[in-house]
Amino acid sequence: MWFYEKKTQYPVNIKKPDPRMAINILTQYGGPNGELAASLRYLSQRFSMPTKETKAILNDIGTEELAHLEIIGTMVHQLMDKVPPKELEKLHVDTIYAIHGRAVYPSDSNGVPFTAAYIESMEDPIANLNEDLAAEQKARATYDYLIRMADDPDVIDPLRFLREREVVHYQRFGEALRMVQEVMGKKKYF
Amino acid sequence: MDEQTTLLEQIMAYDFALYDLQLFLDTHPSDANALRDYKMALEQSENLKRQYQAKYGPLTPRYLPNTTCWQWINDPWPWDPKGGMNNVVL
Amino acid sequence: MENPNINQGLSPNPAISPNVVSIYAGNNCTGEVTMIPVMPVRPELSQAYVPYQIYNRIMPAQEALKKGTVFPELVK
Repeated sequence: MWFYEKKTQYPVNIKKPDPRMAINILTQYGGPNGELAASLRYLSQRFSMPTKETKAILNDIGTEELAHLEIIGTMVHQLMDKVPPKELEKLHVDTIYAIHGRAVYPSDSNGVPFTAAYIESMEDPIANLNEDLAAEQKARATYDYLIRMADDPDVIDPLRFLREREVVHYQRFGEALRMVQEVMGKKKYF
Repeated sequence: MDEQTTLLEQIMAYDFALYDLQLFLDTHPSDANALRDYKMALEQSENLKRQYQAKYGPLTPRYLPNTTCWQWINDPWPWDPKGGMNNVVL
Repeated sequence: MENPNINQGLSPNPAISPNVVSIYAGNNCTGEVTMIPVMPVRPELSQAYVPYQIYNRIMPAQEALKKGTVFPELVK
């Protein structure tokens, strides 16, 4: 089960609101390459992993992605902090405000609500792990795009942190795949 | 940064190191070097958390120094802007 | 033929056995041994391989948090 510690994994302290950036970053909350998709994908796939090591890594990376979801949510919340509605209109993010106000909602940057169609979870661990490798690259590339768009160091720092975590997760999923291939190599799976 | 923020920054750093080492150990479960470094970071983290919670309140609900008030709910929560827990500057 | 350089379970000294990492599949690091080389000796077709990381050294915790990992070789 899960436990909560009253701190974010990386410090988020954004002093200057920026609603446009908030909406762009929202894709990593409820979008196709975002942290919610990642957590649900790995926490669902963990049930189908064949070895203790691979169960552990899916479990633990899935858990870390929930912590990253929290970082993204915090960033969006702080970037929208106290911005007057008329300002949001000028910045062309009023359509999202009309539905949610300045709240954090799981959608992509276009307001498309989160869907489990972004993830797959199969009984075949080799298929699962290859999807996980792809997912980490897509997340890493998305952080590349967001970092290029950002100017504020308070925004760039957490994004850089999250980007590097995707690189590390890719390595771990790669190792998990090596292990599963070892185990499955010893017996035929049909 | 004040003392609370400095302590919190150190805790964040050691807890992060622990998590990165945890993932490494999941795929390298008998790596003696990683286990040694994990143990050292764990001691640091536990020690710092003891100091932090005694002065500034709970980081988890499983910390109850007195039974007259429930401190877990107290502000700030990690996402609160300005004056939240995250005045940490790295 | 037995490879005298295969390290039984401890993190190998890269100078002695740079290519083999052995992991144990077991609760107390005993039991079935799974030997995993850094890269496979005989890679198969239609399979993907990521090199298995060998433990070298870690960064100080504060620096690691800023960089996003404790491992210098994983900073990309």
